[in-house]
Amino acid sequence: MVPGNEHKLIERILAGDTKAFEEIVTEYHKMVYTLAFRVLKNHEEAQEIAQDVFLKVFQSLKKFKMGSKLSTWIYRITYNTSLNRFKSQKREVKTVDIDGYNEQDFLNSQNALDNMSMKEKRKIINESLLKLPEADKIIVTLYSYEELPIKEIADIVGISTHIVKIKLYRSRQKLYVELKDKVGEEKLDYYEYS
Amino acid sequence: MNTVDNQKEDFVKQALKTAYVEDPGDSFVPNVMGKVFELASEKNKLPVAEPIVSKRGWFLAAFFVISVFSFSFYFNSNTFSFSIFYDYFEKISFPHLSIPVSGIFLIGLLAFVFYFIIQILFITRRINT
Repeated sequence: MVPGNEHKLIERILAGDTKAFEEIVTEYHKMVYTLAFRVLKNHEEAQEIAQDVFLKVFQSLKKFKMGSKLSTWIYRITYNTSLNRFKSQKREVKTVDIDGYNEQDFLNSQNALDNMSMKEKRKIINESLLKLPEADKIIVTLYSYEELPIKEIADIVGISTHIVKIKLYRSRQKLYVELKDKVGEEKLDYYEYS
Repeated sequence: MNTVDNQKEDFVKQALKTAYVEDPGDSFVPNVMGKVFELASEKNKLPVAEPIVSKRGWFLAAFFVISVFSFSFYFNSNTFSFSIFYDYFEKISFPHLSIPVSGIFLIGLLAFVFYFIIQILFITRRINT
């Protein structure tokens, strides 16, 4: 959504045109749901959180500062709401160790993934994403899918740009290890020797 | 960053592009809008003016006033006396202070206790709402 159009839309909603809010919901619902799902790993809870986010956005629209980006604000609310729910449920975070690797490992993994079906690939990649820590999942999702600049991601998550860069780097390292593990020795052998 | 690092970064970037954004389903947007319209209609309701003193409050106040007047009309020193209190308390003593117990003092104390209890009820109700 273009910032100028966003502001006109917000003004219409604040003037009483509630139906106009549907444009905001339609525009952002998938990413809000995705972010919530990445944190909570549960579809029903992610739906609940996504609904709560849009209700909060609607109720707080008059507090929105017209100079800032609507997407940043909405994603920040999503991140905070999801994280609060996650913390209240005290879920365990399984972290991934970054093992040593060599060039051959990398080539084997790449070949193996290239030869999988799209459906298999997506399943493996999404499962690997879910194993990252909560903030890292959000950062990787916003960077890879929304292609948001680092500064905007830092605003959403509430950390410095330097930390975002570090987390992005480490997340990619972890994802690589996860993908390597998921593909597994059998498949690597199959693709290497077939 | 070495060559293998760069290759790994590129590999993960490419891999992430094939993953997808989740979809909450077709009913999500209509459900959210339903709740948004409910919220909007609640906001638009005009606040109903409520009296500062409720009917119950007026009844209590009337009861209290009537009780005080009835007490003063129907009871006199022959029918009621504070002497039963004087039998027990001539005065209230503190280390450096002594307050003589009189009829006026007892009436004031009773009124204070009654007022205090009423206030606690009001405050509790206020906090609960």
